[in-house]
Amino acid sequence: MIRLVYAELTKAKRPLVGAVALGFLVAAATFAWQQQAAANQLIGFVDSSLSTPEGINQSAGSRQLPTCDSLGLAPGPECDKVIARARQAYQAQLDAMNRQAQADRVAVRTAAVQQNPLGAGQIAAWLVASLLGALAAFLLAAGQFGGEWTGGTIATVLTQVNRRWRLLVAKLISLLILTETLLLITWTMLAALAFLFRAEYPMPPSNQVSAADAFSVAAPLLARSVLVTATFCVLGVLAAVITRNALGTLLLALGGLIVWMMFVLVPALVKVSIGYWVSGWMGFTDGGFSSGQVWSGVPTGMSQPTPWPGLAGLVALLIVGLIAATVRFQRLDIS
Amino acid sequence: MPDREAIVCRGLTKRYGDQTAVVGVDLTVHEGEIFGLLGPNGAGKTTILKMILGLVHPGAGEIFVLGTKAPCPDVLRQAGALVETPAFYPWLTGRQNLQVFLDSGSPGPPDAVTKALAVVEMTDAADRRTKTYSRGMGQRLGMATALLRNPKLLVLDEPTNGLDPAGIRDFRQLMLDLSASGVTILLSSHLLTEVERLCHRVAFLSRGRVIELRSIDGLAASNRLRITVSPTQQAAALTALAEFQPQLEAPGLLTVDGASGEQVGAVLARVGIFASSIGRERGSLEEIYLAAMSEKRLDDPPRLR
Repeated sequence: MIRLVYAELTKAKRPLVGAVALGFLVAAATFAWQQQAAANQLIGFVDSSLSTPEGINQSAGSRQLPTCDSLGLAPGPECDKVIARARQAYQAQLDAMNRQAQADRVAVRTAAVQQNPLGAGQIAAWLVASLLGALAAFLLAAGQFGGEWTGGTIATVLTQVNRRWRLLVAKLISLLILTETLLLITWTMLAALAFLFRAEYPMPPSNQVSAADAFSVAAPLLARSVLVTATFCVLGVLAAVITRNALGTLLLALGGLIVWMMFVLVPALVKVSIGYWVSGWMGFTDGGFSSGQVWSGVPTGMSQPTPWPGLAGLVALLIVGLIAATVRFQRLDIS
Repeated sequence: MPDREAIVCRGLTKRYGDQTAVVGVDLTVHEGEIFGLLGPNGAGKTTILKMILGLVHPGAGEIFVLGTKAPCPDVLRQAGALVETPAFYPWLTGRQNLQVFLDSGSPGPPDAVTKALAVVEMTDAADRRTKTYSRGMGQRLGMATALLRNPKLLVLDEPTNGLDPAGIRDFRQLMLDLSASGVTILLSSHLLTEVERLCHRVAFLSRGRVIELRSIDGLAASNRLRITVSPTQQAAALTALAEFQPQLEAPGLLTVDGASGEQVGAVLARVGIFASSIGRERGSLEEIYLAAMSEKRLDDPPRLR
């Protein structure tokens, strides 16, 4: 199997892989830069007392709730209803302001973590677990597996490989190695950029994050992203054995993923949406990556995704996808 | 030639939707034999080869390869294959392509790539990217791929496609050398003269069926007699041989079917004609092939001659 994986990695020495990596790195650098610029504008607010719950209450409290007199209504049930509605609206506004303040604090902390080379892996992990990461994995799957049919090499390969499932597993492992390598390269690039970010958008000492803290933020995300990336690779491999060409692999995998993400638009399907699972597993909730992420958020009023349903969904998807791809590949005629 | 069976196909059938590609093919290839599959495009040759190699799943029937019922991946380790136009990874060199294919399966000899390149005379071009190769060079590299693991069995689909005359000659010599060393070779080809020069036996296929099995050595058995007489005596000879329905091919040259040399000699002697030569003409495989294809004996069982 090691020789087979090595053969697959040798095939990856091609312009397509370089182009995917370059595109991903540019996107990651741009995204990280935007995060820094946005956080830089928020520092003043976050560091002020206005962003604390008390400060928010105070600024919101300056607005008077209406009275029956100010409404021109006679005291009684009708007036009470109007005042209750106004109180509800006021509370909702207060909640939204608190959430926004929390998001702003997280954005500043994220930027602070990002200014430390050890924490720079945070955005790399986010991005490989985003739609951008999915696109990269699908492009690699299209080139490395779907391309075997498009290029006509599949027949030659299968006359060399003893068992088809071994080739499929080798493809999967090599794709995972390629995507994880992409993650590490992105981390390395962002670690180098961290010094630039620190110089361009200096943080007040109170907002700075130690190397240990930065790493303790990034490391779990990096570890969790492996499962998401593996799932994307399985989806890419499945699309390849279904469509049996490079373009079809990309279109089916990406199209299927986008349709699956749109499940969040149907309340009954929200919890079986892949976006819900990934968001839950990676912790892409309000105040985190959600402000800039490419996964659809859950509809207002629904509980935010949590890690365990996300883990269960992704593991189930990985296993089912792998079995489906293997069965399909075993039964295929190479005609 | 040893009489053990390298490949046995029984009742092999394959359908693609409503299209029938192969119907009830029975075929036996002996060890050390060079066996040719002949037939027009769409006759089912490639499908049969792919079923033997495990690339296509038979709809019905069974296949035994080197004594083991297929599909048996371990047995296929001992087979080398060239299926249709060989394709390579164009961004890799010829040597890298071979190494990738070698690494994709069971280990071969340490110098397998170098040896295979040398056998097909591609050493000089081995370090060029395959996207720069001509079709003939691709075919040679495909042959090298098939030879990587010193196979006991070679399955070759149109192996001479794209080869120039020198390449075809080299290929023929390579096949003969491999056969002499005990390698069994099953090939399909449109080049009938090459098949005739290489193969011990051939099968004619039409519309997915084997319509005839022939031994190349036995080709003469069904061929005609060529009789040379003096042009002044040809009219009398035609009359005397009327019962054999003679044909006048050229002045003084007659041919008859279905008669022995002794019979013809005796008939001519009775009328005082002494032929300057009576010989059995060896028919070409092409003639026999075209005759078989035109007879449309699609429902007849295959005949072994």
